[in-house]
Amino acid sequence: MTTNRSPRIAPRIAPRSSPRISRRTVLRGLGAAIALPWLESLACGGSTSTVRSIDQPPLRYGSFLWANGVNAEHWWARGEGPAMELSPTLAPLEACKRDLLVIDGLHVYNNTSGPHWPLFSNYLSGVQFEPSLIPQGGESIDQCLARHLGAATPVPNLVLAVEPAEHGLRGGVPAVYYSTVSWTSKNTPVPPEIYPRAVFDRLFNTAGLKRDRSVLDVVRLQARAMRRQLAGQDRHKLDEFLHSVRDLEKRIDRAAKDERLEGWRPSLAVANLPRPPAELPQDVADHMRMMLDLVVLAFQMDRTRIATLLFNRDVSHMRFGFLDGVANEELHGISHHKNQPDKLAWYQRINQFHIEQFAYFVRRLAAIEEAPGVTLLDNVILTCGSNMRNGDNHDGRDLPLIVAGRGGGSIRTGRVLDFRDRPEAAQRFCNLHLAVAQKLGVPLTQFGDSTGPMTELE
Amino acid sequence: MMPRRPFAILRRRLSPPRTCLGVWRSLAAGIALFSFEAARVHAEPSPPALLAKYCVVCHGRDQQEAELDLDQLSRDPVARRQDARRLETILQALTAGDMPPADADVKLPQADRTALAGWLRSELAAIAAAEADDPGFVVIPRLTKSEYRYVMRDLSGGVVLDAGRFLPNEGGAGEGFGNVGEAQSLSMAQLEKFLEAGKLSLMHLRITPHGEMLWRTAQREPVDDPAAARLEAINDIIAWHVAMQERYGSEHRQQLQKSLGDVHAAYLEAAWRFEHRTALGLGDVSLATVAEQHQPPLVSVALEKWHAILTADPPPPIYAEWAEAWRRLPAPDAAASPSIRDRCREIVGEQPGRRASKSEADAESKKRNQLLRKRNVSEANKTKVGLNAERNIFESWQHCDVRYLGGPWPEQEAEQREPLAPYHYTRAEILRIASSAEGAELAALEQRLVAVLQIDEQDLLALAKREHSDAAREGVFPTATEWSSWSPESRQAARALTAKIETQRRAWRDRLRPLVAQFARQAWRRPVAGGEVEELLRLFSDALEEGLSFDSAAKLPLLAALTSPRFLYRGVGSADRQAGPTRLVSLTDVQLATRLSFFLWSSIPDEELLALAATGELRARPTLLAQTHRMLRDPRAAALAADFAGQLFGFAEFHEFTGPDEKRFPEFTPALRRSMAEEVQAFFLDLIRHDRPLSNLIDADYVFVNADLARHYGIDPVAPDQWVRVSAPPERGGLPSMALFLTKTSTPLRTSPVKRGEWVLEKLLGQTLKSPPPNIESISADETNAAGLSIREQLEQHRASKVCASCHDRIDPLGIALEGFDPIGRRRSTDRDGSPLSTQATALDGTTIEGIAGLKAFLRRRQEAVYAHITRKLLGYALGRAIAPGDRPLLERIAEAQRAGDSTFSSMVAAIVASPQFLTRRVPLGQESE
Repeated sequence: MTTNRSPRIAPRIAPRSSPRISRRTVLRGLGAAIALPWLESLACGGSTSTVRSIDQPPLRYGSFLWANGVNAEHWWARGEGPAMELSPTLAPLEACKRDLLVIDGLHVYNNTSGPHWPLFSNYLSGVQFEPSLIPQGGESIDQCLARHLGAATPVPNLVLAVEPAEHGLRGGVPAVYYSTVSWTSKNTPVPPEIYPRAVFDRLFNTAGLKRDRSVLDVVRLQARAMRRQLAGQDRHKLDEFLHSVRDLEKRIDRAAKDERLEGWRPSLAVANLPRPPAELPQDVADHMRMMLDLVVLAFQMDRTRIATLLFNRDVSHMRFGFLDGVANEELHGISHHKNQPDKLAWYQRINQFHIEQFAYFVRRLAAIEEAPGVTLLDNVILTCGSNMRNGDNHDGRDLPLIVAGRGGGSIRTGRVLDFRDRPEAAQRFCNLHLAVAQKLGVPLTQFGDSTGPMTELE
Repeated sequence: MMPRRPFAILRRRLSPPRTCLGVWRSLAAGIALFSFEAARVHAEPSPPALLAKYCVVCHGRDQQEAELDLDQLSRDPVARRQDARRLETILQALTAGDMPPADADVKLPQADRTALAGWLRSELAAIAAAEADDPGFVVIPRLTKSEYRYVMRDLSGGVVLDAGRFLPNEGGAGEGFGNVGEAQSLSMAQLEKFLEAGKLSLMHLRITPHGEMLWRTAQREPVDDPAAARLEAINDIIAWHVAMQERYGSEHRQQLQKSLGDVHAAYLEAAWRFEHRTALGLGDVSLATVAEQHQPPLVSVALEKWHAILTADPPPPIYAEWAEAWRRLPAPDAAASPSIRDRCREIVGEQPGRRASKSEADAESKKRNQLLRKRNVSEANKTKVGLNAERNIFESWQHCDVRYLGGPWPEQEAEQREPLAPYHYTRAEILRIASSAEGAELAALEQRLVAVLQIDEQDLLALAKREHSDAAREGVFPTATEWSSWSPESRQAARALTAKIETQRRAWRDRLRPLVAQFARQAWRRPVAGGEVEELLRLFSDALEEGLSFDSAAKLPLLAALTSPRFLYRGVGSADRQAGPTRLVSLTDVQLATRLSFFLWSSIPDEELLALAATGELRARPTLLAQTHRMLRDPRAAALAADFAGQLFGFAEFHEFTGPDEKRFPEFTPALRRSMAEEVQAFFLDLIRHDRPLSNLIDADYVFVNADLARHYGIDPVAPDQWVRVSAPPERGGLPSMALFLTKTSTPLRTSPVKRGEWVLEKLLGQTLKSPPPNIESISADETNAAGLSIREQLEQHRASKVCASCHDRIDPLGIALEGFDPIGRRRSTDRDGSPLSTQATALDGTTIEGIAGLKAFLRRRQEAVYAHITRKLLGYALGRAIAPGDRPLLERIAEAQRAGDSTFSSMVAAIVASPQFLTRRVPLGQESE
């Protein structure tokens, strides 16, 4: 149990509607069913952590990204508050600009330029990728958060994508380097889910869980027996298998229980979305919309608190001919625009399309009231951006980034944060990950190539 | 804007040109794990110094150009031994003249180049010798998405064809394939997907209490609830009756109509023959015999009914006219007999053309038709199965207990009318008609119904309900502790029922045991111990206790078998020599069978292989090779085409390819897309199964086409819905001119000579291209750019840049030779705007390549490289790892045979299967494993 950790509660910023509370108060009012996440967040150190009471909705984290960069000329924001000005690409966010930060000047330390693959898959981990015939990366922030917080919800986290992954090797490295940013460990990339139905079922299907559990019981015995018969390198695989079995058993137990004794309750108890069809939606925009709706629903019903969504993979083959005036060319081809006016215009329009998707998601969160005067958007921290500034010259510095949501009042939104003239150590994207983790109550002091939590969010 | 990092820009300017042969950035240090105790490499001091002098300048500690640090390699022999791949890369770059780059400050004199290359070769040779034919480091592989599909296909006896399709794409590793255990992970989310895939697969299965496993193409929702299972069993019986009614009713009539041109007349004639059987010299035959002897045979019951109708007194009103006419038929004599059929036809009005007198016909025929219609209506009403089938069920119910069937049942109102419908049958009649096989089928269905009724369980539940037990509320079977507090009578009844139920369940479990054992044996590809089966069967018993239906409970052991690591992980790994002392052991026969079948079929071994493995015969070289050849000829070798060739040549994911612009190329229909993929698949399957030479990959005098593709290729039309092998037109034959590859290497609006050239270089010649650098030149999206330059002209401009040219001089000519094909692979001679296209280019070696013929000739001159590439990849695919230096002798032996003229696919496979790499593995000392 986590109670033996020494809680260091010294929140500099009290959340909007939360009175400062002592640990004892918390424990008194704590339902056993949700003890773990709460104590995790209590146990977390750092001055920026956000203490939430049991009656408050939890904080959620979402990461949204597209690969192949942006048309940098049309990606900017100026000013603050109501006077904040947004570039055409960011214009779809106009209505919710008071709920976001536009951040300039961050990068993953080692990502500067070069071929595609080292610049993508470490977007959420900050780990430098090695050329290898066996996938080698490092834990990403979404998976790190899931490791710490995932036990609070029936589904620890979602890793979603719209574009199918590639097979084989590409440019001499595993193609997985181009298709996921989520890694649970050095050698374990998480293949994103692209089927909306599978996401829906994972979130909401609780039928037959008891039977799954009994099947896993037997499977676990078999895995143990088999492990004993194997030699070293194969044993590790069985260890991994057993680990996943245990995680799944825990997840099933949580999903089967799924009852809150007291405290905050999600604003929605039964999914208000029909089960999606089994096949992939033909239309890219529909597919994205469906995935976004599922994340909204998962957050709203508190089925998970952590989600990652890739609008496309690296070296994307996705085409956007359905947008007015955009040639039906692959995004990757367009991103290598060489400053040709037509390609630049298409590029910008596609960037804007992605922002429209994100803006839709933000608007939906803003429309969900979780407590009197508090919306779901107030209780999330979302990042949205791309792994390159300029897809033409693979410029991995000065990433186009937006943070949306107020993190339970821990983020002062409606501003532009500019790190471009700051020392390199302050420009690390991982500093943002670290700050986010701390706000979510994860006791990290370092993450990836971070040099310290980004305090500018507050 | 000022560059923020001037140094980075400077580095970029100095950076070497792209090299096609170089794999500078893409090599794994991590997997080159060899031990070289035996290696005695006496390197001259000078070549490493040369390396330091000429290479480390740019690729050193301080300036790691292309992130390559050769500093250690130049100083440390051990590092060199561990990084043989990098040595190979350096050697390639040196011999190809790529390094040092032309614009570098260092110049490498030819003598030093030769010395350096010679030294690298000897280093590599020493490493290869020390490692020769070592099984290498292999981690136990997990089933890939496509292996899962094939395995389920084979487990289900060929019924379930798309299992695991929701498993994620995972990308490849090692030599580029998905089957590299070291790279495969199994996260919780993936485990869930496998669990889900198992459930979806089992939705195709139905298990009956009588030990039948019925796989069906259609998925069926799980029937967890015993009541639903009962209904399903009843529906099966209804379906059987419907089928019988149709078979001996409407289908029978259609058959008669087809062969005789009439239906009823045959029966009238047969009834007449029966009446006059003595006169006809038939002896004392029964109606059944008459029906049977008729050509084609009549249904005996129908004839009986007709006979009853025709001889009834008085005849039933609607048949009165027919009956009277039939009775007026003359008695047989030699001359009249043949015409009886015609007379009968006249009676029923089935053949108006042969009427004796037209004058008398009209009025009567009208009347008859009315009658006929009347009767047809009466029959049609009954054909709606309802009445009949329900009544049949009603009768079949009498074998079971009506309490649990969910009546009430329809009255037997049709009973009186049945005799008037000669082609409709009661249950008893159907049983008389049905063949013995059909009867057995019904008996099985009825037994199944009795079993799923679970009458004792329901009685017990009813008892619990009376005793207000919790169990009744939850529908769970009450336990002995629970009924200990009941009234003595109930307790006694419960005891008796429990005993019966126990007996029943034991019987079920006994019937299920061999099914589960057999399934697990196949799925786990090895003999299964009794304890393991019992472990699985416990799930079944527990689920029955929980009140689950037989079918759903019986599937749980199978689901566990499909989620077990014994299923999901296949084969065995081979230990890392670097990690500690190891010992070389042979694979067991069972392991060998699995390795072989997953290599050639991507699936489980069949009975023949398992049997040979069980007797220990498989390892004998002649048996092993005979099996290899058998397996290559088997249709299951299609997996080798789809998986190995599909991943190697990049067509496995064509269904996910975004494809050409739909407006520009409306011809690219989903059907054409499928046809393109099927062509490649058919080509490889043919190559494998018929063991054709590898040179067919470059050029073949045949193509496989269906109607769509024939049209696409401008070949004479072929019959729809089939694939045929036809002579190739001059521009086709072989891989480079296949529509799939030409389409896949085009951008949505135009061809891409660069992508096509890359494809030829990478996929056929096996050269690893470096990832393109940033800031690459932009080629227009459509066929001309804003300045009106064609693709070819833009590429020429592009190559004017020295940096670009170093790679594109290699790439582009090969793609330009394919410019005679449009973006969806059709033959063309002009651009879209009509300007003529040139397909002539000068290859890097100075030879002129013109068009597809030129390209084929170019490739034929380099066929050794093509073969070597395929061999290397096939070996990597077979072993589930990247190629190691120790594999060089084997690859060289195969290349030798190929040079000597033996370049068939099977020889390559046989050499791999017979190699020590394939047949052995390393185990850590002191760790004995299965």
